[in-house]
Amino acid sequence: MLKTRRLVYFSLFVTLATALGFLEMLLPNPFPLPGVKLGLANLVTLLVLYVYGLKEGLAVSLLRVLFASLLGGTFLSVGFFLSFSGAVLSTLVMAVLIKYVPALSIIGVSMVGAISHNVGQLLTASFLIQTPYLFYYLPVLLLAGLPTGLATGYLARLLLRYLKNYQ
Amino acid sequence: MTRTDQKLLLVLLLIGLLTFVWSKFYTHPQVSPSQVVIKVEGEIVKILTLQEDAPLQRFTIKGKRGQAIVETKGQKVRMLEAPCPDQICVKQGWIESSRQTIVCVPNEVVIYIDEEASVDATTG
Repeated sequence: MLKTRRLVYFSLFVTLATALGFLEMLLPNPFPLPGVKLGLANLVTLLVLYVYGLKEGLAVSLLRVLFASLLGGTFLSVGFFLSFSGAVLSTLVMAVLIKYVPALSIIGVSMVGAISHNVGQLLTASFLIQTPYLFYYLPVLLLAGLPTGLATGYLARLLLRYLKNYQ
Repeated sequence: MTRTDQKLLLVLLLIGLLTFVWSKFYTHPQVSPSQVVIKVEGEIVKILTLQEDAPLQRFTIKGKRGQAIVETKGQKVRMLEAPCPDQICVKQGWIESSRQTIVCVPNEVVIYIDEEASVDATTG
């Protein structure tokens, strides 16, 4: 792909991820469970990982967290570090799965991505918010990550078809 | 969805359900009196000892973002009001079993029911 074209696409992906992440921050949480959400921003990361690779995927998710926190006024707050760690862990895990476990489709990768996002957040939360019983919440986050991961996975598969055609 | 996806889903679902059941046993109903710990920015600011038949009580907690109101009734505790945008802590409602935790991330307030309550109660 041409350099300029690549840059434009990359910027569009960052913008899309930021907008989706911010939108999800603004919308009232449809689930009565703290920390559970659809993860639309993660959808973009997943697509970028498939279309480009680890470096770009990581860049998109990091920039997305940064921009969304600046928009929402949460930069360097506890919430920012939670999103940050969740985004980094899930991007890394998904990239490893894409590279080394070809038997998994984008849906399986998305599922594990959603769960690792939640686990990353919980790990950071238990470190930052010093409370002894936070891990009791892990099963809830694990179970919640399955349907949301599946949903974004199916969406990603649909979108990936169009993206691949276009290129 | 490939075969591997399906297997993975099944394994994760099993792990989730098993740990969920385990966590239900882990947070056992509390014996009276119970102890509620409130932390702000990692520091304990209040410890409440709650009796089973305790009347409704309200406490104002100064969090990082502003004032929050914590309500207790009997051995239950909840975040009644919080100055955070998402209101996740308020929506969570009452907690009453030991080791249950309410976390308000924006306000950096944590409320949890401690399991050491009975020991502390006997030692005064």
